Amino acid sequence: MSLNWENLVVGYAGREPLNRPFSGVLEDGGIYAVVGPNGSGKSTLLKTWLGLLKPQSGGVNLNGRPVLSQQGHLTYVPQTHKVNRYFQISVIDFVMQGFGPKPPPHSEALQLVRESLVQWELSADADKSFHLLSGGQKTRALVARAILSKPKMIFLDEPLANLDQCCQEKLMNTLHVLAHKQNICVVMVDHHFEPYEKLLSAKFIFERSHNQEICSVRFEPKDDTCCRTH
Amino acid sequence: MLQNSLIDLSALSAFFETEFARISLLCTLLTGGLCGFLSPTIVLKQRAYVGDTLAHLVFPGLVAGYFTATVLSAPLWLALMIGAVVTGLVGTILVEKIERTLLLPPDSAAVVTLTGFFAAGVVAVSKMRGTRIDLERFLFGDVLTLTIFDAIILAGVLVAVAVVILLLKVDWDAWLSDAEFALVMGFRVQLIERIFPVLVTAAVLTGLFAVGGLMMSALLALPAVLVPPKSSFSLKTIFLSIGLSVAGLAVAFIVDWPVGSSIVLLGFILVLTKAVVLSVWNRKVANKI
Repeated sequence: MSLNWENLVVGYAGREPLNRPFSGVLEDGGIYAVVGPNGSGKSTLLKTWLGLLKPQSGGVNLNGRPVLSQQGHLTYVPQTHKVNRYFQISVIDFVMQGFGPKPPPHSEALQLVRESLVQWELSADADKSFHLLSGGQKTRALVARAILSKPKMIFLDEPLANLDQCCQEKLMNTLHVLAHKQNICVVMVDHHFEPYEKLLSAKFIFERSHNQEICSVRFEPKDDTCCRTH
Repeated sequence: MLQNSLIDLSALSAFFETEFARISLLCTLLTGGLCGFLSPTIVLKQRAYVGDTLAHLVFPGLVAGYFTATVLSAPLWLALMIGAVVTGLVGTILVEKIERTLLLPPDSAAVVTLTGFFAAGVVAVSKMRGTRIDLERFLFGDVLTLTIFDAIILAGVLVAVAVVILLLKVDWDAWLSDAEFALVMGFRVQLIERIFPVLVTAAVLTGLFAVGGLMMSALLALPAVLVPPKSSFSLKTIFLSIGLSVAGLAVAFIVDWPVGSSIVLLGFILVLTKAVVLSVWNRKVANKI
């Protein structure tokens, strides 16, 4: 599994670009943090990697092909407010969406979802509306949904924001296990990775020099990782 | 009192022995079913304004159709249908373009466009001497004048909508709850985003000719407002929509009101009742705490 990007510049159509061109590849398991100040383009980069946004210039591909043409390999944990607040979907149906459009037979799928809810301490809320959960519970449901399909790469947008310290540790440890035991590539946007620096494989740091209006993205490896930038 | 009721019932029974009454009941049932299928998606996707928007967008098309039919001696129903479809589609595309280009909320783009189109229709009518467009029929329809042809068209659109909703149910649900996640996971989001406006346009245009724009707009929203659905397909919403339509037809017959406005008023009263009951209930719960 290889996510490549060449001379990538991200940003919204008709607006200023958010970064200077940079290239790189993500190939192997590990936890990759994307950090930087507010509005620097972290979440925009995440969505561009996922194929949800078109790059302003450059290109992204997964195994040499467009990202969105290869569903099933990647998954996404958005911020909790991205879930439609008018849709009173139950937690169990919400997590079930993690199987994608072709789920296993219903009884098997239900069993797997129930096991996942137990793992994420949500089994008591299985039939509750997703929107009646607390912020931390919502994040756990989002993560449970994302990892249900056993993806090769997981992209998370500020998953630590709503979690207390205990849940943050549990999430980071789970992601660490996924990254190193199952060789899954975990890419996370967040603001505070300080307590979890040891678990990270590398960082993508958005930084702006005094004379620069646009951020540069600096790659900072933490271990002998397969990720690199040029 | 009992005698009066019996008289009313026998009158009602005699009324539904006539062909036009049976067709009007059939069309009301079909319209109710059609709106019941689409209501969850329209309300959950916050597109309740779409029905009203389309009802106004087609107005200049109806005027143009009327003018064309008069000048060219073309069949009126065909000219009206073509005019409505053309301005409906052009208007829908314009709403989307204005929304994306000016970075406006979708309802603002819709309101700006619908009022512009409606104003254009009013100006056109004012310039056509001797022409009178029946606005009341356009807004509330006249279910008692429908033919079996209207019923067949309504049934066709209902079947198409039902098939698309049921076949793509998991995709609709994923799109409704979190469109970006759905796209990443391979749900058929792009297909749904293309189909959705087509289904709504077809439903509103069909309903517009059958029962009026305002009723279609209201009926598309009311069922899911009254019973919030937990999926894009909800039997409760469908039955409620059909029940509301039939009850509105009955009220219209009993008190001699226009059918479209009776259904809309009945639905609005139910929404108000629900709001009052919930408000009292919430206050009681708050006081207990």
